[in-house]
Amino acid sequence: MSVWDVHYTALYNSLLAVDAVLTVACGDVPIELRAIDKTVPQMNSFQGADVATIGPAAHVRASELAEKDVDPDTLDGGMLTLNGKDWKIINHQPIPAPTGEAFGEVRLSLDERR
Amino acid sequence: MAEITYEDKREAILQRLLAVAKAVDETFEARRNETRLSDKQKYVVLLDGEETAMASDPVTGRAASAPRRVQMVPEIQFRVGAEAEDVGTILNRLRIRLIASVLTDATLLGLTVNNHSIRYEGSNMVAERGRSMEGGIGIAFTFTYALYPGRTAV
Repeated sequence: MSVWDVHYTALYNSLLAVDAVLTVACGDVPIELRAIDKTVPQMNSFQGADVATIGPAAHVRASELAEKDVDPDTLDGGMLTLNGKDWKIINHQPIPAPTGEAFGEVRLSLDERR
Repeated sequence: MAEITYEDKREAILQRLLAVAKAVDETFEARRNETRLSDKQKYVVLLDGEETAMASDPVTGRAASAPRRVQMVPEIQFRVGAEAEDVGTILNRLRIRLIASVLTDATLLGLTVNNHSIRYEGSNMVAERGRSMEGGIGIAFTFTYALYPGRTAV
């Protein structure tokens, strides 16, 4: 185990992360995992009347996905329940650790279900 | 002494235009010249736009207060958040209904030269991902009206 594994384990076991539920495809068994809410405020420009909105996103550990047999390529279109809200996963992006992609995080871009 | 109120077709057109745009879909909140909106609400926004006196008007040898024909290009923006696959359809529906409403509104037409001087200029749609897909469409019209400097309002 590298020092980076220790770092990520501590981070995802801390108060910065929360329990979340991932449902990759409709009908699949929901998977419990730890996630960090990375939602940020943002302004969308509409050439005259801009919109104050948010960029919803969450990070999960690549190693935890692998542990639970979730192929990252199946994430898009799935559902993440985080902090009491259901979000659709629009796309995902690896955020590699210094020790490689498999030991880093996966950023999930989310869409609010209306 | 009471302030003199002058005839102002620009303001009359803009007020009526926003009312017509609001009537396209009453679930949209109407705003005028608002530059920062929330993603929690659907909006229809009037951006006043510029006005220009027509260069083809005969001005040589005429009084400074001679009437002018003026062209004004306001813009109506609809803004809505929806699922990505729906946002374009929603905005296009609003656009086509607004065009029909504006170009057939008797009050607006009556404020323009010869009661028929409104032209659709075009539209521009923008979509960006936010809380959901946030879409906006701006629709522009040219209104040509007569400006009589110094004429008081009836």
